[in-house]
Amino acid sequence: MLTIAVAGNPNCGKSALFNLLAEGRQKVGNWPGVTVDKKIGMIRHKNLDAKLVDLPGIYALDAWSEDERISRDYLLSGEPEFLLNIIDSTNIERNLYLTTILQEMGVKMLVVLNMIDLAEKNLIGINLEQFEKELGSPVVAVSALRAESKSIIINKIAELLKTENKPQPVPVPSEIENANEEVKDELLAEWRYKRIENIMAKSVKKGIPTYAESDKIDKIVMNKFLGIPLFLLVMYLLFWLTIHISGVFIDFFDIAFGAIFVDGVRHVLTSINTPEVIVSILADGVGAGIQTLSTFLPITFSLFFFIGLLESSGYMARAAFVMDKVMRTMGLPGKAFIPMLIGFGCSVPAIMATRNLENKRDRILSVFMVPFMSCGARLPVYILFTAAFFPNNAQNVIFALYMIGIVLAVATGLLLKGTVYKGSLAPFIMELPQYHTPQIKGAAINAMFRLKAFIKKSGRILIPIIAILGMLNSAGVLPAVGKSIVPVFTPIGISEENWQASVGLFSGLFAKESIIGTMNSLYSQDAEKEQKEEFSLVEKLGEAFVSIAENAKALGTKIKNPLGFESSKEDAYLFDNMRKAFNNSSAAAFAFLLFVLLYVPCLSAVAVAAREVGLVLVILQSLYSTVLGWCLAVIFYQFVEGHSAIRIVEAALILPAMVFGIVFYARKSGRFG
Amino acid sequence: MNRIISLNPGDKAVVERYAQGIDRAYKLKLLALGLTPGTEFTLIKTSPFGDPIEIELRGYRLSLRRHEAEGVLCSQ
Repeated sequence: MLTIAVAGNPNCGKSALFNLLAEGRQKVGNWPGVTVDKKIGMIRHKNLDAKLVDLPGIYALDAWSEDERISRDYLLSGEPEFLLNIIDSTNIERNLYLTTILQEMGVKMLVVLNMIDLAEKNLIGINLEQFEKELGSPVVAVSALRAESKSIIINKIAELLKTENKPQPVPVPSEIENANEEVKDELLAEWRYKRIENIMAKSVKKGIPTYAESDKIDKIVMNKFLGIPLFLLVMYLLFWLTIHISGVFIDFFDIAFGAIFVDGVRHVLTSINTPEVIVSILADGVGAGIQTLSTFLPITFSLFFFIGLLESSGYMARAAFVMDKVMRTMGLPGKAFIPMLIGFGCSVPAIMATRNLENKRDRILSVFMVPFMSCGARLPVYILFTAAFFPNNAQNVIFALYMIGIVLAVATGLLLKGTVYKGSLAPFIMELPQYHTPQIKGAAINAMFRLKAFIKKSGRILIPIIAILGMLNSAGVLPAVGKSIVPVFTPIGISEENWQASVGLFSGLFAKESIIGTMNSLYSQDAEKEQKEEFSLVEKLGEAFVSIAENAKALGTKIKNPLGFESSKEDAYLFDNMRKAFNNSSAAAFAFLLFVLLYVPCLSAVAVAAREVGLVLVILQSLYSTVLGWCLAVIFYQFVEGHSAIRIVEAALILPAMVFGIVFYARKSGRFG
Repeated sequence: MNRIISLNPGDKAVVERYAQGIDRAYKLKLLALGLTPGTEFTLIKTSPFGDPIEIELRGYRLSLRRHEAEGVLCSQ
């Protein structure tokens, strides 16, 4: 089948056009050797059957940038037989730079003047015939907002495939080819832009200033005094909508996928007399893995949907512009604010959002910092413990935990910036596009694409890990594991008898909120009598749908009480047992919470991060945060209550040794980009 | 010869050349974005925190950090 590559600058409306041509049918592929997702679509039309491959948004084809290198390698690979070069009609001059480079390569292509409606609105006069003649490549003018654009482009491609031969490469003058290295870059770029200026002068009449509308909006949005509060407001809205809208659907996915892939599979397999081992592998293992993965679908979709809206509106670039100076102190670009913020909701989509950062080192740094943000799954653990141990002071204790997380994230950023990345910050060059109406459909299609990539690539890591642990869990191995690892936690104030706490920590690997469920059942006596219900798929699915309505209703109370401090109706009996287990020590309870805040982010976050930065760095991060959590918890507990100088010295030695080891490895290995 | 660092909002300037020691990847990207020698640009505004800056050239807007753009030598 014919393969067509789609190339264009960032912000040229490429994905909207891609969606129009491929009618939303998109597959996820891989570019060799990098984590950038390859977007593949299909054109099915009576005049043309073709595979469409979306290249990353690029300005040129230099080998220095990852995206540009991928694009160049792909174009030179010979796989694409045709090229669509998309151009923003309101910004032709700069967009043509890539076109001139493509012409020098001599590829068969069609230049698509996109967003022609906006150019018309801005009274930019393009003499299409003249433009085509001066440029020397075939051109069509379209708007992704107009449905007929699809057939205009497709018919033109079909016609070109029949008639046109491969064009001759546009030759670069030999005096530039042979110029001295020191001036060649400048001479080549100047020559290309001279060519472009010449084409522009002969075929494009300047319109009214295209940024007039945007400047009016910026007067308010980027105002010296209003800019920052507005930024915070937009970010708060992004966070709130992402977390709460997905929160309405999370139980639905949990219950429905659990009913089908765990209980359903078990029911069917048992009824046909499958051996228990196989039932356990498929239901408690693989089924539970699929169930866990499914609970992240709503939050992943809603996060990328709202990010997509912000990006297509042009505000995201402004947010990065506003926050750059603040984030730079931690060695990160302004855009890195988003993953940090989303980290307060859930580390999984937050780590996925690091994808939007251009430089590998920025992504690695963010992956190291994000897990320190107290995610939504840690909050219920804080609430339960503070209710039991700090009933009069709950808010302050929880606030302190959040702040400790933020301080440690910043400290981690400063540490890596000051050692591994020593001062060398990736340079910041960013286009500020005009404001546009946010594209709801485009954002939804894009979020679906990210969701598919998440399922396909993270599922491969997450499902087997959860499967193995899930099987261990159902085989009843966990209490034994908990009892055997409890000595590790005695220095933070957990006594040998309190093995339930370490089992809780272990189950927290699945998801930190599982700590509660586990401890709840272990500390309450009714742990044993887990009733076996009669399985009914219909009933469970009904329950799943009801959960949507119930959570939507609960959203109303969340608006009134955003932090969720309700007067907890938890059993006084449970609190009593918890206090007994922790020897009535609130210092031990706080040390435990410190450790919960800091130790290995849940396995789902680990799986996603492994995909972004590789398994080795993720293991390093997990090690770093867990040792950090243990040392701080030990130092805190021993200072306040344990009063063991040896323990304090021990922890105070392990901590810098670990930090030194990681920095040493980071410098040696060269894995940190 | 001026440096971008000393321009104020509303100032116009022309790119003269790139400083010798400038990072090549950075220079190539600025060149691709149209900041070629001889190009006129206007400093539109600075971020609420004072940096980065927003410049207009060839009919569109670009933002750069002041000290990173030091290697772009220009005249007013």
